[in-house]
Amino acid sequence: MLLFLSVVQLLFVLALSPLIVGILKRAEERLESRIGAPILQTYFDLAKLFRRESLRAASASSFFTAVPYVLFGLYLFLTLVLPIITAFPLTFGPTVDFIGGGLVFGAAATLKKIAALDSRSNFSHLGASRNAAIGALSDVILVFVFIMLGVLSKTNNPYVINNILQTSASWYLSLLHWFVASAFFMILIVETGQLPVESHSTAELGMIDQALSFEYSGPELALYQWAGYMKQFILMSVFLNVFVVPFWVPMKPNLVGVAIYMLIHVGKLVVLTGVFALLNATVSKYKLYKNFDFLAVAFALAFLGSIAFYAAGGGA
Amino acid sequence: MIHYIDLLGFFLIVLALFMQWQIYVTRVIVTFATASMLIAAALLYSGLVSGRLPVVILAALTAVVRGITIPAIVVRGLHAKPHRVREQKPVLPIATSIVVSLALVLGSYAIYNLGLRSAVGAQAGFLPLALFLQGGFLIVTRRNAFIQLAGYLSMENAVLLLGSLVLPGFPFIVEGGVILDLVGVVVVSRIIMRLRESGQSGEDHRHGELFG
Repeated sequence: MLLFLSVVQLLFVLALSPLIVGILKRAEERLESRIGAPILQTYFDLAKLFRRESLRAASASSFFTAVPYVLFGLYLFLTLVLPIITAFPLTFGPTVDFIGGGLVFGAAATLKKIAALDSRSNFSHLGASRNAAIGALSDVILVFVFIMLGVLSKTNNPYVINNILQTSASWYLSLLHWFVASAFFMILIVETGQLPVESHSTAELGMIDQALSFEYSGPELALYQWAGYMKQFILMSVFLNVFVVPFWVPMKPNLVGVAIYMLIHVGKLVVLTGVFALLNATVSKYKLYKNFDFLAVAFALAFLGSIAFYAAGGGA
Repeated sequence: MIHYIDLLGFFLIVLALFMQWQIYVTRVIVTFATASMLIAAALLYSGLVSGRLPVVILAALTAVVRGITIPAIVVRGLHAKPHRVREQKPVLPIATSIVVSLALVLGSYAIYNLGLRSAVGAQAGFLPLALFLQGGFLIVTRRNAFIQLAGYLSMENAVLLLGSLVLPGFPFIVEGGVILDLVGVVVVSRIIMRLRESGQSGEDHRHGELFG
């Protein structure tokens, strides 16, 4: 049964991750009083890219071509080990803990940067440089957040953390929990490229993540983009299931319960997508160097969580 | 279970960090007004729970003077000086200021535990001290007089928080007097700012004693 649920979770993320991005784009357009593309447009775009010819810059090596496939594989692996539709470990759950999951995310980000450098494109290099500068700080904050969650739950297992927050009102309402949840939300904005950190426009000078995939085309670009959608879906799911709304996630294997929760989870994701759309429609983009102020605030919140825990009586 | 005063202290520190983050004066002033309203709400809760009328009056005074009147005076003064609506060049980069602010919180915790905790008793008594230092830090890291004023008022909030934490029976008349004094401070500060900007040496001479 666990193996079956693993496959269901994998297909759930694979199938719905482009939909969430489509809903986000549509919601942004509607908030700006425009009609916008249909929410299924991301699927059509992926299908179109899969049919297109694959081109590679003459100066790029075969590593450049291989990276989208590896990225796709890494994010598929992460869908199998994180709590997305269940709050009990599935077949591959014991493979990694939160820190291990963070390292896999880090490995994927590093591969993207190396591939961007390998493309020899100036704009990709610019994106890689910015991505590395921001990632060097945001990844550390992410690990700090995970460590503080480990302090809360005495484990690095995301399933256990979800179970504790589902069942313990005092931990759920604790300052430690809300400080690290706020810090994680800010990192989520950075990692998924939302405003005020990054705007998705055609202006190369403001690009960070978007510039990394400049030289990809055809099926490689499709896989690269789909991997990005999966990353966004997974991080949003972790934010919802482990940090903010850990409720209703089934804690015991039950097919009907999991099926019902899958619908609830889509609802949770749509609400979070609405929050992102509202941010993207109302907040203006920071100058590049202001992003470090944003990260400093995220770090401050995580740090205050630790002070609340150690200095003010446990935070609960 | 964390005490509501501790909770308030952490909220105020987050708001102080938010002030460090912002460069637009209006946002800093609105943040100060929010902090004042939070303090007023905490005082109101404390007064209602303990049944002490002076604390309820103090809550109302805090809301009216710190939450509404002072921010309104400052924002009104701002409309007349569009060049002062934002900090042009902070003394320290914003990210560095935020990290130093955190170090101040940590330092406050160390100082409090080493020397003051035995006297005060409250576990989270370092929060007002941290807030006080952050207010001072805002003053030294900014060049904009309105933001410096917000820093000074944050220090005042810290003193009020310390008073409600350490001396719950602090004479009402003293706290009420301090709150009303603040209006005078804000008015005097606005006069000084106006004098500085007018740049007339005769005016400066006549009101020289106001500079202290």
